[in-house]
Amino acid sequence: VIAPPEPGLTAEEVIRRAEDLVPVLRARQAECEELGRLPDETVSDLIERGFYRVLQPRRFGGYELELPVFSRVAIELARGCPSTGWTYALVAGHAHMLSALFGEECQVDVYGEDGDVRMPGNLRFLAEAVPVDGGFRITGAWDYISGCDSATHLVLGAEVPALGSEGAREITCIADAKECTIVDNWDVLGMRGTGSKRVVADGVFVPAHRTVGSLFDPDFLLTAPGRRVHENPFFATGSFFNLLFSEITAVAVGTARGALDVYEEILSTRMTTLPPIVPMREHPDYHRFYGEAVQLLEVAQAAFLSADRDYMECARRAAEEGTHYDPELDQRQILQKQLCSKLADDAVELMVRTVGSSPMRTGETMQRYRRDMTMLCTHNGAQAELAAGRYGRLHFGVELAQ
Amino acid sequence: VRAQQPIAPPEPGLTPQGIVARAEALRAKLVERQAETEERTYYSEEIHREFLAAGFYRALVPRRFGGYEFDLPTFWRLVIALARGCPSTAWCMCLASGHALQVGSLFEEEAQAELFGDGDFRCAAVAAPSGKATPTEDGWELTSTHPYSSGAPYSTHYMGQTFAPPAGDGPPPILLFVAPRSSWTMLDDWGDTLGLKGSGSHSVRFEQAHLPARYVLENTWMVDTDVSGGTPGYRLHGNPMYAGRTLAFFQGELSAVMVGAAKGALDEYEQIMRARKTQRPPIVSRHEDPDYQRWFGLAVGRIATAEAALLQCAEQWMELCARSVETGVPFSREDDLRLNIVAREALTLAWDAMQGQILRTAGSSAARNGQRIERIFRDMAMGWGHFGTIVGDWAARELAREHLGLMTEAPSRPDRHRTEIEQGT
Repeated sequence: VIAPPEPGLTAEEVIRRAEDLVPVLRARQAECEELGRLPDETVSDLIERGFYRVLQPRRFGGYELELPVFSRVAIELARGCPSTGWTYALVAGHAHMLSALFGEECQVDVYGEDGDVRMPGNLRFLAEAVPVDGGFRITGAWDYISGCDSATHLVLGAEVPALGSEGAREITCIADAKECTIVDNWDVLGMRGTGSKRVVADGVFVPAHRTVGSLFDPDFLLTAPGRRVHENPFFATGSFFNLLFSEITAVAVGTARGALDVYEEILSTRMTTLPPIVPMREHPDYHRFYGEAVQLLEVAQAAFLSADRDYMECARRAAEEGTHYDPELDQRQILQKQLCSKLADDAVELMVRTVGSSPMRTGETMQRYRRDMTMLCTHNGAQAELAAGRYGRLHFGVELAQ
Repeated sequence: VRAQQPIAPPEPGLTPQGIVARAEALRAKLVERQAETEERTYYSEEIHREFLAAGFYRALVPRRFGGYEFDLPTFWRLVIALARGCPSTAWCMCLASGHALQVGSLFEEEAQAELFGDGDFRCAAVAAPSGKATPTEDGWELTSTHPYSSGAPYSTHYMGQTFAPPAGDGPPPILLFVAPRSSWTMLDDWGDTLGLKGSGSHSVRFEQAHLPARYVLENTWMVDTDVSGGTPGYRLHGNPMYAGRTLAFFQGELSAVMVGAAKGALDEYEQIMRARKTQRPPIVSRHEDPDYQRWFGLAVGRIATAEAALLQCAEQWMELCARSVETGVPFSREDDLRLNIVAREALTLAWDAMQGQILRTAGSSAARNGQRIERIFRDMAMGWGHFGTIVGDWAARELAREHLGLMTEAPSRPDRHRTEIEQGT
């Protein structure tokens, strides 16, 4: 058992710390974007405040707080800096993957002596894993690894080639980050500070206990070795993919909140560009625009956090009843969260349209929020209508025609 | 002044279909040059020569002065075709060519003859007034800087608005002027924006420039011109197009570029659909996937609707011009506001297709810097946040006030108030 750094840390205190960090992160947005990764001070700030341990099991030095607490922290961080929020959410969210899917020996090994783990990754099977004594040597390259610069470990998909009568099989493995190299190919419209770069492994050794099967195999997700390591239903029965949508949605909602902060500042200082020429904050149109933005955003956040609470409840019920997480409710929560991302995007869209051209100049904060939100919306985890289709198929028991 | 002999255009037989076809034939070349156009902040000298040879800049120049005097639907078709290749290039070309319509409408014959010359005329213009002009013996002396002067790099002239010294306690009278290139310089200050980095929207500066009185119109607003008393241009050219109003025209230019940009994005989206696979099961080529098929169909439908509405807006604009001179029913401010809103709705549909279908579902790789979809998205986002789209909200309210008979005072002038505030007057 590893004691967490601050055993008495409460949910309220963690959220307050995230709120306090908002102006600091905003002041570092340009630097973060310029660096193409989180600034070192930001990495330390997130570690020191315990944010990476929010979901981590108590046994391994974490605070094991509820999912909505994690989402609140991610919202606030994204509000200050969307790239920071994204990096945080996608990395810290993987505490669930490690603790719910990988075996006990692996967890003891990876969490190590102090529980200081940051494990981004890419689950696609983009490497070859050659069986060797005691494990595998993996060789390959994975793109889009957000937060790889400050990672301690990487979770990576690989394929074990066919041998004799045995066919090829897919595995998921945990490598030490320091054994892999980073290639900077992250040159994109927005979210430039996430440093979602390419990671290359060249014959990196991964011990057998640090590997499991394919995380795209639904049966494996239900019976993974990690499911028996912790009693907390969050790990024992909590849906795996559902979590990804909390990560993305938290960042979408936080990004829109950040844009709303800037919008309010601009409305408080600028005049309308059309008659009647009055301060924007006194003009009926801007009252409506601002109100509509808040409406979209508050509904998005409320529905999102409610889906997170439903998640905890579903996991609890499944654990109590000895069943699995309800698949239809699982999809319904994903459905709900993805619409929240879309509402947040709608709010940004409304603000950007009505704020004028000058906030679109390069270097302006509003332009950055807009680019970041747009980048987020291209992620395949932010496609509300696809989730709608999946839910409909599931509900009617219809398979998608191949 | 004696009426001079008309000057023939370089190709008297060039048809509307012919000139649009030339723009379409240039598309691949414009696509290829998009990155360098952004880098330079305007299109190359080589493209400029192609445009000169193709006659694009003469599309709205009066026939009498060596132009083709094509109608508004043709001009917007031309702009859409160019924007499909490169939105920045189309914006720069459009804003340099479009103002031949206002110069050909509002100025007297002597001024037009000098300004148009043999028809080689390109004239950037910005509606927001800037700076001050002081009267001289035979004209005005102007000192001013005009930001966002799209089309400036290859312009032979500049049209702008400035203020005369105030008479008494009243607000300073507004002036509309046209000035040859020799009287202004272009600043190197464009390209540092989200999109349309290659639109050549640099600032134009006048320093104690002398303008003859015939190049300056007092109390005339470029974007909201009262033409109820007829225009010098109609009397000179006999074409009702030179007797039209301008609110719809200016919005339509922006919308034409955005509709063309969306068509370009759709071209690229189709390429991506054919080349790439879906991101989640069933993993198939995207063009065989029912979701991608639906997104493609929706995007095609929205963009086609936008284009149809915009071209119909141009047709209606021509009809209102013709009606005003044939029957004396004036081209009213309400008519102009209505068409302004139609043009903006067309832009909104094009943007919806870009935002709702194309960019969102093309995948993150299409948002990498330098990708065609990424660039067109930035260009369209810039257009979506353009002053012209905000004017749409104002225009909607003004339209209601006109229609409901609530215009008890002089119509408000968007750019005037804005500038007065900025100048603290």
